[in-house]
Order: sequence, then C-alpha cells, then structure tokens
Amino acid sequence: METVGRWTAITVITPMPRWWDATLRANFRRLDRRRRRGRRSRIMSNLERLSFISFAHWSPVRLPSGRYLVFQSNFNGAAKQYVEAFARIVTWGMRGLWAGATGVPGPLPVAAFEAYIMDQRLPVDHYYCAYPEASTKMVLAALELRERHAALQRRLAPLDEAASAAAMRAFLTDNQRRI
Amino acid sequence: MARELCVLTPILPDHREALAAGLAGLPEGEASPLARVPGTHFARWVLAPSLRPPMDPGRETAYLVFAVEFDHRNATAYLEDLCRRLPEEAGRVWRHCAGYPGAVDHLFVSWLLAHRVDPGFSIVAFPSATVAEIREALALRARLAAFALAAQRFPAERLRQAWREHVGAE
Repeated sequence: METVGRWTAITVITPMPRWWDATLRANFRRLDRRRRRGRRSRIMSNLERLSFISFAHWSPVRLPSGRYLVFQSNFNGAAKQYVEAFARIVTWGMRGLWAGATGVPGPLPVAAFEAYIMDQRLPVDHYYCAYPEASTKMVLAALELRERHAALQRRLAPLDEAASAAAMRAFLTDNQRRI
Repeated sequence: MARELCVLTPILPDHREALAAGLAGLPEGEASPLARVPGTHFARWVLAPSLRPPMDPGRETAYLVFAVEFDHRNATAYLEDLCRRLPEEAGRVWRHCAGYPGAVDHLFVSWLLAHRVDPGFSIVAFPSATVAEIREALALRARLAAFALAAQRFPAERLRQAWREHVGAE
C-alpha cells in the first residue's frame, strides 16, 4: 500500500562506505548551520521547485551490518515521474546525496537512476496521511487563502452591502487560482 | 512546526511473516491506528527485508522502519502520545522486534529512541503548518469554492448573506 489518496510513499535504503557516511554527515551539518542562519542552499531552492513533495528526508544510519543512507519521501503522483523530475531538476543535489553510495548510478542519463530507485524501493506495509485528498499545491494554496481570508474578514465588518459585495468579488477574482 | 522521526528496529528471526501479516491487517485511512495520534501528518511502517552490503556474505538482518512527520514538540512527546493512544497496536507490531521491552511504556519509548536514525537532511513543503491548520485551511478552501459558484447567481445585496452561509460570519 504505497499510495493513499493523492499521496505516494517511497523508501529506499542504500548501503554506503564509511568515507561517504562521514562526507554526508559533514555536509548535512553544514547545510543545517546554513539553514539556522537563515541562508538558503542551492539544493534546497532547487528541491523546493519540485512542488509535488510534502516531505523528503535523507538520513545516514550505522547498523551492525554497515552504513546506509535511508531515503524516504511523500509526494503526489507516480513514482517514475517523481524520480525523473528529481534527476533532471536537482541533478547536482542527487549527486551530492548518492554519489558515494554503493551501486547507485548517476542521475543522468535518467533511465539507469530511475531503474535503480524503482528496483530498490521498499514496499510500504502501512501508510497513513492526515489529508489524503489534498496535493502539496492544494495545501499551499489553502494555507495562503486562509491568511488572505483572515485579512478580508477584518476589512468586511465596517463596510456597507455594496462595498462588501465589491470586496468579496475582488477577493474571488484575486484568488481564483488558489480556490 | 513539522518534525520527523525515523526508527529502524531489527526484526526477530522467523518473525518477518507474522509482522507483515499484522501490518496488513491494520485498518487503513481514518481507521488507521496512527490517525488516533493528532498531529500526525504522514506515517509509515516498512519492512526492510535485508540490510547488508551486496559483497558481504554475513548474516542478513531484516528491519522494521517506522517513519513519521508530526507536530509534537519533539520525538519523545510524539512517542509518548503514540503509547497512550495505540498501546495494543504498537505492542502487536513491535513485539516482533529484537529488544522489545515487553510493554508499551516509558521503556518502550526509550527503546525506540535508541533506534532512531539521525535526522540528516530534509525538505518540508509546509514546515510551519500543523495538521489542524492544514485541515482547517482545506475546509475553508472548499467553502470558498462553493461560495464562488453561488456568488455568480446573487445580486450584490444578497452576497453578504451568502458569504455568511457558505464561508462563515465575519
């Protein structure tokens, strides 16, 4: 059950050598420091262009059998399109995350990378989402609409019928793409 | 602010099938036991059948992955809430893992936290929105869509009443 409503879950666990584990941990600490200082990394900006992702995580883990990179994400749509978009839009980001992992092809050409992820993804045994029928775009639009609606509500109270009707119609026109 | 937790617990030898059957038997959607923990955005249980590098001939160990995005102030608070709200299901799932403390209590929370995966690197599309805020915003969006349709039929003097009916009082 890897899908719920509009959402798909993907989980991939990739073995990696000790040196790549150390490299990733150092890179993740550096990215975290940048984020805490309010500075945005290029990989972060590029990843946010992928507007069908709600959450994506890359986590290094040390187990008795070795070191692994755990990748998991929740996104809208089909897994193949998701992986392809990742490879094409965040090419350098993907290299930065998986280049040293064992057996992972580079993101370009897409076919080999896509085949690797599709082959290695683990079946999901139980999946839950709190808002299954809403996509990432729908959630972002709704949150923006909520703020704009609150601002309009504050403005409406003192207006007469004609002025409030004009304000409501203007609100609907301005927010057409969010509704 | 949405936070994440990922836990990998080793599955006891010969328990994989029983665990898979137990997970397959859990109800889905809003009947999922995980729906009983308010503030859960997404959650999953995944069986990782074998974790060892391909060139390593050593013994294979299967793992249970539990991954969740939540609104609680930290992972401990989330797991304590999970213990309170689904003690039976949590016990039925994790009793198949090595080191399960035998009861869903504070020792269980400590045991899961000891198997936590380092957070690493994350991207979150709506980091500051809680589940309650998202659901409320989606419901408002649906009401506004209904109002937008109705508004086409109404003259200006009826619009305010229609707004109250569809969207809510100012």
